[in-house]
Amino acid sequence: MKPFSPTHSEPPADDWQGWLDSQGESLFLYTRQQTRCESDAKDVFQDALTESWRKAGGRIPDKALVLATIRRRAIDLGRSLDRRTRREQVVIESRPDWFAPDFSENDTRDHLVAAVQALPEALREVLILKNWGDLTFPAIARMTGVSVATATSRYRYALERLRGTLTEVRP
Amino acid sequence: MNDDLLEAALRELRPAALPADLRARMKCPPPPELVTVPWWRSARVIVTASLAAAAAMAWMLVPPAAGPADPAPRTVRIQQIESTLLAERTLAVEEHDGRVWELVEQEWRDDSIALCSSSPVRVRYSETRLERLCQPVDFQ
Repeated sequence: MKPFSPTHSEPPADDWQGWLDSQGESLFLYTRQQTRCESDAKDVFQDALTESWRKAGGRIPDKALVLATIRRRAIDLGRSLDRRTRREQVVIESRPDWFAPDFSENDTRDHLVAAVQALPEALREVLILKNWGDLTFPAIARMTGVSVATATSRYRYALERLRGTLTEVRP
Repeated sequence: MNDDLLEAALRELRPAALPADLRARMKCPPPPELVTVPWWRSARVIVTASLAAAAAMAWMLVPPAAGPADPAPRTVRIQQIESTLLAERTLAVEEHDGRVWELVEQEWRDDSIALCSSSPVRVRYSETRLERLCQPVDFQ
């Protein structure tokens, strides 16, 4: 994917960069969760943010709308057979850490990160949207197409799974 | 570990920073999107244009329906206004009985008006005519 040309910097660049600074990391976390390899995550992230930015008329779009756009684009990408083949090849190569490193040598954190990444996709999606997407359960339910009760129970079940994993490590 | 502690631990996890290459390629905001005509709108334009073209063709090809009858032709009276000699040239010169005669061709323009017999219609027109005549040559 080509970088944006600097000659088209008519929209306020400060807003764009500020948006990436404030929300880019959590949005990319969700994008990584929705895709199966790093290169797909980058493509989906750039496409979704570009689309959301344009739809908002060159202003910072609503976060729920951006998350929904990421989800839709990731699903579209996942349906592409050739991409899927490539993704299966690449996923073996590398899977970068989804969370920032912690240099306090807190091994609980490492286990927690591994446990989050190992959650089933449906549970992990709700957990990420709730904790780092700042969405409410009704918003999560609308976005993922399930009932509010299902979204809530998925979140609780994700916590239970994480707690169980951590208890095994540190009883 | 209870849910509160677990959620607190989760909140302490910060998402990783954006990869440097992704940051680099998203350095500038995207340019405004070009306005494109949706396919259904362009299709509607094509259909409308086709129908308009077909209607125009039909209008040109189909003979018009019988309308009100033309008014009956009316007789006219020609009123000549003026005759102007445009050119004159000599075609031949001969001598007869001690006199010299020449055959002359003259080109005249007649300006006339056609007056309709029972209406105020007046049509002005011009026509040219050739006239040949023999005339004695006067050498004085």
